[in-house]
Amino acid sequence: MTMLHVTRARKSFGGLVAVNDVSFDVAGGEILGLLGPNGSGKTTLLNLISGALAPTAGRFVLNGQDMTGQRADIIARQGIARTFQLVRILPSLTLLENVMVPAAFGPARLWGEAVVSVAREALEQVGLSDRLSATAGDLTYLDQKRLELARALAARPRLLLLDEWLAGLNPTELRDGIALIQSLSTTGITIIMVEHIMEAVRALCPRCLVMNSGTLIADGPTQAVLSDRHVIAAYLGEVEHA
Amino acid sequence: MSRIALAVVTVVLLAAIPGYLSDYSLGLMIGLVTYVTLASAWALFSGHTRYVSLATVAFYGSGAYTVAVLNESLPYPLVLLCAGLIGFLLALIVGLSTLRLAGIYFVIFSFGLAELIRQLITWYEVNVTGTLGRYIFLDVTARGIYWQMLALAVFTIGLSAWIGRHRLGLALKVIGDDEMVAAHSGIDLSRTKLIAFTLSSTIITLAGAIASPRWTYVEPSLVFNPTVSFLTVIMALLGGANRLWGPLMGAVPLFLLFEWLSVSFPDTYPVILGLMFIAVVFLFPQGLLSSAEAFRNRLKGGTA
Repeated sequence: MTMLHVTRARKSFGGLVAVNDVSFDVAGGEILGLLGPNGSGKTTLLNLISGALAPTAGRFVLNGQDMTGQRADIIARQGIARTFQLVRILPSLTLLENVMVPAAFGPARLWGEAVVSVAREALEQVGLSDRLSATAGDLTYLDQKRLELARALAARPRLLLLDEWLAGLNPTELRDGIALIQSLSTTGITIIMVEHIMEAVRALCPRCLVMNSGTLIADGPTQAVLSDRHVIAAYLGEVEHA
Repeated sequence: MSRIALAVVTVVLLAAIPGYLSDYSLGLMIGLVTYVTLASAWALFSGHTRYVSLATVAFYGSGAYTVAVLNESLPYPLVLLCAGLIGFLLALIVGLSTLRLAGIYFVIFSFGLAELIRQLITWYEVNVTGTLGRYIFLDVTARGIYWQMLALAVFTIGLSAWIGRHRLGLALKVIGDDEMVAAHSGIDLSRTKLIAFTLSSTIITLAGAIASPRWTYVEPSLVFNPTVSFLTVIMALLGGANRLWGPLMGAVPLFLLFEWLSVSFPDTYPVILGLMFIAVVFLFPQGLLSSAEAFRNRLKGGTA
């Protein structure tokens, strides 16, 4: 069943077209990789889906509901959660409060004991449950990333958008991170992940999209996509009369 | 439980003291409680969201001026009701049009708002009614004013405590930390800010209305004095604007200090006031309560 339906999504900033008529579908429970060189429009596409930016044109349908051009908070309440490319935690709040936020204001709108137990559960999932009342601003970079993921999970989203969540981790942390996302996939959640680390993409995503200068240049099974001539050209440059 | 009992006893004691005070001391107490109310109400919106508002006197003055206009034509309770309503509507209009502004732009706008309202009223009075300057004759005694203001202060702190435990409080904190994250977590930014701003501004307007009979003679340049806005901000910041008791802890010592300074050094008072503002921002950027907490933790850490 189609979870997200994107039709001819377009975003231009003045004369620059950052996302150029991109169309694709995501099925429920799918883990989709979104690849492409720097500046190819991946994060802008995520921003369009999450409502951080309004599209110039195009249609976004989540579970049959049109959410084109809606505000970010309305889209969040429809069940889309995300992490940010540059980690964004709420530094003056405790870990527990950080994670309570989307549980309280997201699709479920919980309060009281329910919100605390969802928040605890999410912190447990990422391995931060022993520091509930620590201040988020004091965390290390990796723990901030974990916290951000826990916050996205506490929304109990139908669709999770990860923007280079695995970037900047050392090999051990990367292995833990991949295992963490793998454990999520068994819960039936749908994930779109922007990622540069091919090891992670191969391990996690059966299907990939590849963007280059705003256009979608490949969509298909990961193995096939990664050996596609256009994709290799996008990353390494055109092979001319070699 | 014991905290609530302590609060109740304190309020009862405060309510009982006018009988034992001289007129001067009672006047002092009214001023003190007024600033506790203003600082607490200011912090209700600005404390968590970090939208620094200099519009306090725009609402405070509007409240006082409403009483000046209506005091002869309506019974007192209705006058208060009208003042509250005017504050509410004004806050709604201002909130809807400005809460999209970020940071410094909001500060400047809020400062300009008080000036705008003052000039509008002056223009109206000069050109339409032809009376610049109005008298307030009400049989509200100083004690009556004190009790009303005390009730408003208790209500304000109670409301802040309630908000702090509910969704609205969490939403305001999140907005203060990161509006992008707030929106992506499902928080309706405009609605949340508007609710808090309207509550805060309505209380401030009521405070102006309640305090107004003390003036007897009212004109725009008297009731829209920007110093009120600055004092309110500095009091809330000194105590800690994002804490329930912070504004009170800042308002009490600063009000008494300013009162003493204005009596003892009437000529140099404005200069001292300016220096104090700078000192508070430099020495206690997080507020007294936070500094005291940090100091206590350091002592504990030192002995452990």
